[in-house]
Formats: sequence, C-alpha cells, structure tokens
Amino acid sequence: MLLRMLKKDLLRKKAMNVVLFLLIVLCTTAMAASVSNLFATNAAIDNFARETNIADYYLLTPRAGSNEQAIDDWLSSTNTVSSYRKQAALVIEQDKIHVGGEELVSNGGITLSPVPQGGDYVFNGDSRITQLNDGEIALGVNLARNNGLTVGDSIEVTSGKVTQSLTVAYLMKDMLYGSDFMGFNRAIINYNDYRELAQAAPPEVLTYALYSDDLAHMMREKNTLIYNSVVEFDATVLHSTFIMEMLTLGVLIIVAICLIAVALVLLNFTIAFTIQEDYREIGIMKGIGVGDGAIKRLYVTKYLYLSLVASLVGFGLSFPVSGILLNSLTNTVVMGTTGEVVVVRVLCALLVVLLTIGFAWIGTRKVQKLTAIQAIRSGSLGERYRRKGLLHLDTGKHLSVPSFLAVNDIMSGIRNYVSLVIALALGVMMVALPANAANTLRSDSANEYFGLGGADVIIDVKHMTDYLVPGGRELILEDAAQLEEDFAAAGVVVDLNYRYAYITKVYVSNPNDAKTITGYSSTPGDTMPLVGLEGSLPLLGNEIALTRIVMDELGVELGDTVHVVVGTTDRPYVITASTETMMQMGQLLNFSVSAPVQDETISQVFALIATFEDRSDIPAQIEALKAAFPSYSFSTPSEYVVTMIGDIQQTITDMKNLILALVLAVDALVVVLLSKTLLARDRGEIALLKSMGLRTGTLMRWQILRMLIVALFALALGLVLSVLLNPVMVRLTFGMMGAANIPAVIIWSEIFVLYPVILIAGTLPAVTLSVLSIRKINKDDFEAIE
Amino acid sequence: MTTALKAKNVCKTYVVNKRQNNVLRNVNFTVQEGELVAVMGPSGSGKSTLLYAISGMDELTAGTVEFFGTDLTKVTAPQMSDLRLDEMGFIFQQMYMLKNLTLVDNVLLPAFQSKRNRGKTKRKELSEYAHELMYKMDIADLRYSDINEVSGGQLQRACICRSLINKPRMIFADEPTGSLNKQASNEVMDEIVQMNREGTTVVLVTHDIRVAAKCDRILYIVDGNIHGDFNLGKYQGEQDLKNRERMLNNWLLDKGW
Repeated sequence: MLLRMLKKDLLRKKAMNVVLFLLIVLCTTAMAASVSNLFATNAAIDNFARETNIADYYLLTPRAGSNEQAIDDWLSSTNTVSSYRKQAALVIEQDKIHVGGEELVSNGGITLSPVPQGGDYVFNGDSRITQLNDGEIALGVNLARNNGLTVGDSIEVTSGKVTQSLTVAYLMKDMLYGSDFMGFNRAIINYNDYRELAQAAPPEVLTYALYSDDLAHMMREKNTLIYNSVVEFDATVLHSTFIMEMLTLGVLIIVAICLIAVALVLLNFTIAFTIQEDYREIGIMKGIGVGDGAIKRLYVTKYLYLSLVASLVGFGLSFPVSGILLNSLTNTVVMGTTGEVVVVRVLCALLVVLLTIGFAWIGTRKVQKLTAIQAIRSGSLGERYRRKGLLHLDTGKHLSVPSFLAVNDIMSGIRNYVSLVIALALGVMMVALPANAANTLRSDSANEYFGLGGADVIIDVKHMTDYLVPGGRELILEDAAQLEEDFAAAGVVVDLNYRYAYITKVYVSNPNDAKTITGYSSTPGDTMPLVGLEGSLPLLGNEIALTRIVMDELGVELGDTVHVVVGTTDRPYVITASTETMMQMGQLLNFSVSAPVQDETISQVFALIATFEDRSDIPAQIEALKAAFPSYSFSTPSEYVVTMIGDIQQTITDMKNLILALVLAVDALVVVLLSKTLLARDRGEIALLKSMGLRTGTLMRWQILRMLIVALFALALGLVLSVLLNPVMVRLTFGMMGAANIPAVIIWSEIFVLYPVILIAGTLPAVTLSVLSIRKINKDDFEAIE
Repeated sequence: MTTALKAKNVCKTYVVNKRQNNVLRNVNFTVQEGELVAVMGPSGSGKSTLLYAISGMDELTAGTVEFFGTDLTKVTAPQMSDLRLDEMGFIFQQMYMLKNLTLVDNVLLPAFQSKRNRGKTKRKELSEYAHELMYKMDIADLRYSDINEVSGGQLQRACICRSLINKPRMIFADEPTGSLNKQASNEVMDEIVQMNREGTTVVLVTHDIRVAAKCDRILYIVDGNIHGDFNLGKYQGEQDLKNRERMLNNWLLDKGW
C-alpha cells in the first residue's frame, strides 16, 4: 500500500516533485563537483612538483667569470647538498625571436634549454616530454597563448649569426618557468639545435638545482660564497608562483561554498514546504488511525527514492561541471590520478541523500505534535491572533492590486523568502567580489604595487641585458641622458627613470642567517615611489625600506639596523620605512637613490619609466615617440603589468564572466524553483481571484512582482555585504601576492548598475516563464485553498 | 422585463479514462432580471457544473449562454474576466478567502481591481461602501480581523459582501449555506434575499429546502437535464415560509426527490 501511495503522490504532485528532484540534482552536482575539485586542486600543485622532480633550491648564475668555479667547488666539498643538477641555458632576447615576422611577446625574452634530464621535467598533457627532433621547439602553454601560437606554427630564433626556424611541437606544462608570475619563459629544443645556438653566442646562464635535507644549514654555507647570481629561489617560491591557479582555486572554493549553501537552504525549505502542503492528508491519515511512525516512513521512503534517483543524476553531472571549473588548472598543471576524487563524489552524493532524508525527518517531526484535526487545519491551531500583513487595501491608496498582493504576501510571511534572499544575495556577492578584485588589479594603485608609480609610459629599448654587469648603473645613467636628448630632439621632453634590481642578502646579526631577496633601486631621479608606506621614504645612502613581510620574517621594526650584502660588500642600513609590493611575492628591499651600490652587478632591469613634462596630450607624445623610435616598444603601465605577470587581469575577467554566467543560471533556477513552489501553494487563491474576474496578466504581475521585490532586496543586501567584505577579499587574494592593504577599487556603475541589471534581466524571464502556468489554473484548483 | 440569462442547448461533457461523461445534456432555461432562482437536484445531477457553465467559469462543450444579451461563448478571456469582475458576483459553499488579507481587504480587492473604480476619491468611496456593506451584514466590527479569527457564518457574510462590492447585475452562489449551521444558514439566506430585493438577480445551487423556499423559482435538474421549473413567487417573510416549504416539498416529491 505504501508503494501505491508513493506512486500516486509522485504523479499527483508532479510540479513540486520535479522542483525537489531538480534541487537534489543541483545540490549533488554542486557538492560533488566542488568538494572533489577541492581535493583535486589541493593535490594538483604538489603532484605537479613531484612529477617535475623539483629541487629544494635554485640558483641561476651567468657562465662567466669565477661564478661557475666558485659554486662547483663548494658543491664538491659541502655535505649540506645531497645532490644537484647543473643545466645550461641561453637567454634569447625577444627581438631575436620572431613569429611570422613579428617579435615574440615576452617580457625579457625566453630561456632556451635542451630537453631537461634528471628533473625540472616538462609535460605534454600528462606525459613527460623526453625528446625533441631537430627543428622542433616546445613552448610553455602561457607563452604560446600570449602569442597566439599553437602546435605546427613556426618560430625563428637568432643567436649571434645563426638563425633557426623551429616548429612548435608541444605546448608544454612547465612547473619551473610555466607560470606568468615567474617572470621567465622557458622553451625546450633538441640538444643539437641548442649546441649550435649556444656556440654562436655565448655566454649561457647556468641553473643549479640543489637538493638538501637541511636547507637552512645549506643556505648559511652558500651565503659565504662569492659569486653573482641572476636569480635565486627555493621550492616554496615555485609553489607560490602558481598564484593565478591559487586565486582561481580560492574563487572556486567560495563559489562552491555558496552553491552548496544555496542548494541546502533551498532543499530544506522545499521539503519543509511540501510536507506542510500535505498536512491535510496527514491529518486524515492520523484521523483514520495510521500511526505517526507509518506516516513518517511514508515520507522518508518517498524522499529516499526521490533523492536516490536525483543524486545519481547529480553525480553524473558533476563530472562535466567539475571539468569546466577546473579547465584553467588542467591546462597548466599535471593533475595526477583522480581515483579518490570519484570516491569523494560518491560520498557527496550519499551525503545529499542523507541530508534529504534528514530534512524530511525533521519536517515530519511536527506531525507528531499535531492532533489529527490540527493537521487537517494545515497546522493551524485556530488560536492565532497575530496580524499577518501590515498593509491594508483600504488605507494604502496608492498601490495597485498586484503590487499590494505582492508586498502584503512578503510582509505576511517573510520566512518564506529568506532562502531566496540568501541564495540571491550570495549570488550577487559571488559576482561583485571577483569584479572588485579584477578592477583593483586593473587600477593605477595596482600599477604602483608593481613598481610602476609615476609612469606615463614604459619603454623597452631592447638592450637591457647590457646593464647586467658590474658598474652597470653608470651605463644606465649615460644611456638615460642620451635617450632624454634623443627624445627631446624628436620633440618630446621626458624624464626617464630606470628601475632595476640587485640580488641581496639581508641579515640582522648573523651572516649565516641571511635572507636572499631582491633589492630595488632607480636611476636617475628620486627613490622609486613606494606604496603602503609606513615611516619615511629612504633618502640617505644608509637608509632602506623593507616590505612588511620581510620585516616580520627578520623580526625587525622601523629604525632597526640590518646588514645588506650586495655582491661582496656588506653594509649596515637603517630601516626607515615598511612598504607593500606585488613584485617578488611581496619580498622586497628598496634602496635610496644615493645607496652606495653603484659598482655592483645589476641582476635585472625591469622597467624604463618615462614621465612627460608636457601633461596636455600624453597619447600624442607616445605616438610621436613610437614614430621616431620604431625599434623600441612602448607600453602603458597596465600593458606592462601584463608582460610582467601574464594576463592575470584577463584571467580574472574570464573567471568573473564565468561566475556571472554560473550565478545567472543558479539564480534563474532558484527563482524558478521558488516561484513554482509558491505557485503550488497559491493556486487555490489564484483560482479564486480568477473567479472574481482578475485577469491572468494581473495575477502573473502579482507573482512576478513578489519575486522581483525579494530579488531587489537580495541584490541590495548582497551589494552592501560585498562592499563590507571587500577588505576580506583583498586580504585573501592580494595578500597572497604581498599587497594585503591595497585599496579595493569599486567601479560603482559596474557593481551597482550593470550587474544588478544583468542579474534582474536574467532572472526576470525565468520568473515569467515559471508563472505562465497560471493560465492553466481554473475552478478545479479551489480545493487547494487552505 | 429584461432577460438576465439565457441558456440554450447547454452541454458539458467530461472525458475521464477514455469514458465520456455527459454531465449536462441540452439544458435550456432563462432567468429574468431581479429573479432569485434556486437550482436543486440529487447529488451528481450536474447542479454545480450548470452553475459554473452559465457563469462562464467553465467552458461549454456545446450550446450558448447569453448574459444580459452577451453571448459568453463568444467573448475573449480578458472580456470574460472583466464581466466576472464588474457584472457578476460569486459565493461558494467553502468560504474561500485570501489568507493573508483581512476581511475588509478581501471584500475590497475586486473593487480596487475594477477599471471602473480608478482614482483616489473612488477608492475612498469604495472603502466607505465596503464598511457600509459589512455593517449591513453585521460584521463591521470584524473588518480588520484575520480570516481565521471569525466564524463560518461571519466569513460567508464577508464573501457575500465581496460578491456585492462591484454592484454586480447577477450573483451566482454554489450552496452558499452548505457549510453553515441552521442559524447561520438562515442569516446568510436572509442577506441573499435582501440583496435580491435590492435588485440583484441571483442564481443559487442548494440541497436545502428551507433555503430554496425563500427563492422565487426552482429549477429541478436530474442527469444533466432540467426536469422541472417551479414558480413559488416572491418570498414575503417568515410567516410565509412554512407554506412555501410544504409546497416545494410536495413538488419535489412529485419529481422523485
């Protein structure tokens, strides 16, 4: 009998059962896809590092002078390094690499090396690239994407007098240099091709990959060596260079939590609602002597069947949804095996079944407390004297009937709309917060955090590596003066400022505990503008600014003295300021303009900043320079940030659009589900109103307005919350990059006009479609009136 | 005298599980303006179906219904809605009301929706009229009550007020006293008689001889056909009731009641 009743119930209340079915599918899909993605992404970077055989420490040094000898000698004698690899590479500047006659788009050119052996492997998909044929090249996925290159395309590389035409054989996943954030791009070629290019234009750069069981001890030893390095970093830096993936992961986690919350809130509401709808029947069952246990079993059985089938569907859907959400990560990272992920999904699906039954059990608990007649009266005890609505038709003279009914319904049963408000408000926050993040990253503030403050245009004169020699600063000064003269001759007066860096070791008292960080300086002109400044800008030669992250790690405060080793010179410096930056993952030192480092070897010139004297028409002056100096490239600060860290803004924008589409779909589903639920409850009253002569259009307006008012309230709430949560968003996202206090940029027209309009425009048709069934309601539905 | 309603060859057929069920079979009758007509008949004879068919609440399978000269089978859905809103009133056996509204708001709702009643001044007048109607029905003190704070009789009287608020030309009532006790039933029926005396034409469906005895005319329906049309004349008051009940009872017994 139980099964017969169940079958009848499923057929008779088709609309509500379909609503519930869809909700359980949504809930299972959201939970299974999101939780399994969480597992997959958490494990993915570690798996990628394992597959790549990443070393504990990397040291890049020019194969020139005594550098190689000093390091090799140390490696042969030390017992702090368990093993190491040494690989040579060529740094090819971008004007020596051409794609279809155009220069390659790549900040600082590319590091060209033979197929890696013993570690730092590269991958095609999930397979390691072990060999390349003559004339073939493998490019990093991001580098290829930035240049619109794909497998089969041709690329010309020149070294000295040798030019090779190479065919792109693979778009590779590269843990070592694959991230845009690393600031280097690696390409892999066949050893024969490499040897030909290397012989044509030495010197090379050597990469030492060091393995150590006691990294701190190894560092103390290494700090006593005398050598010049291009860059040094440890394995943790490699992990953190996947910041974009981590950012994507962070957003995915937030989206997942929101989706699960939305689905569970709606599921609980709908089950409680459907059971309330059945109170009359429950009362009749109780009246004829059916026990509470049997009634509960009936409902639990119904929801068990429904949730089992729906969870199975949701489980199946979680596979493609998970794939879409992980798309950006799977393009750049070797994800590893996913066996346990399937188990996680199965567990999620089972959890949804259990939650559904749990909600049903809780929903039927009230049944036990009701007498048969109370249940028949739909739970009403007949003793309620609380006013329902606060509005009255005879006193509120201005509202039309549909508007009055909509407002009065909401005010009479605010609890019915809480789930909708939560779901929609979360949706708005899911859209607004990433949008604020993207706009912050695109702002002038962000450019300042990338050391480009005060720049009208950034110029690449294509021979920046010429300065990477001892006393390179003098060359910079000469060239800057010459360039200013050349530009003035072309009719444009500019103030030029080179921004460059030294590899430094910083310690408080014990040189063995020195920390290797990049020290930035600028020439000529003032000290590089700093952001997030506390204290005073370093002006004297013995003054420096450190980022707060470095200060915390060293345990120093403003006014303290630290030792800074540049090359072989160790000098004490007073910390006059703490700063923030998004360069070098927030680990930075800033020298004053008069710091005594002029004779040291510059490790990197990262920008030539130009500020125009005439502020009236900057674009025209840029165009004049472009015309006069066609071999130089000119970028706006925002464009230059893209070359430094990759098109992170575009990635965030893409992600923002994906989230917007996802939120639109979820919001549409939510409003359809709730509209249908409320319509099922209201169909008796709709039949009555129709009998009184209210037109279908009027009744549809009532239902749509009701949802619209709630949606507008939810939108406003979501927007207010998103503004309040901006500092949290900044800490979570930009904090990882070293800029926890960057002012969040809110484009008010986008956040408060564009997105609300899109969300309302997207959900309104969904509500309208869902209330079209009002047309079918007739006198037969009178009995639905409570 | 104007013909208020003219039913001509009205048929209504339902198909359930491929079985055809002819609920109304060529029903013909007319109602004159100002009449108070009761439709009686055994259970399942088609009384309520007839009421819904002639009021435009349900579609006919065949035949025509003219409402003050307008063929209801030819009007569009919006026109039908306007007719129901402005020209017709409905009273149901169950006291259907919107649960989130007070009694007075339930009464006022159709008035505020009517296009005839647009404008602030009009709304004020309507509120006063609603209060007046409720005062006449002795429920003025309950106007701001929730619908579950009042008795069934009081609720049905509020339903009558609602059916009258747009001053309709005809009221359709489906067993308006069916859910009420004897006293409440009498009170409600007296109100219906009163509104009929004030000019509103009424067609009601009932099982109750005491209710039907207060009507001018009785249509007796069996198996979807009118089997008798009994004219009792105008109800003059309580002193006349016993006699009318006896006459009606005898007539119904003749018809196989």
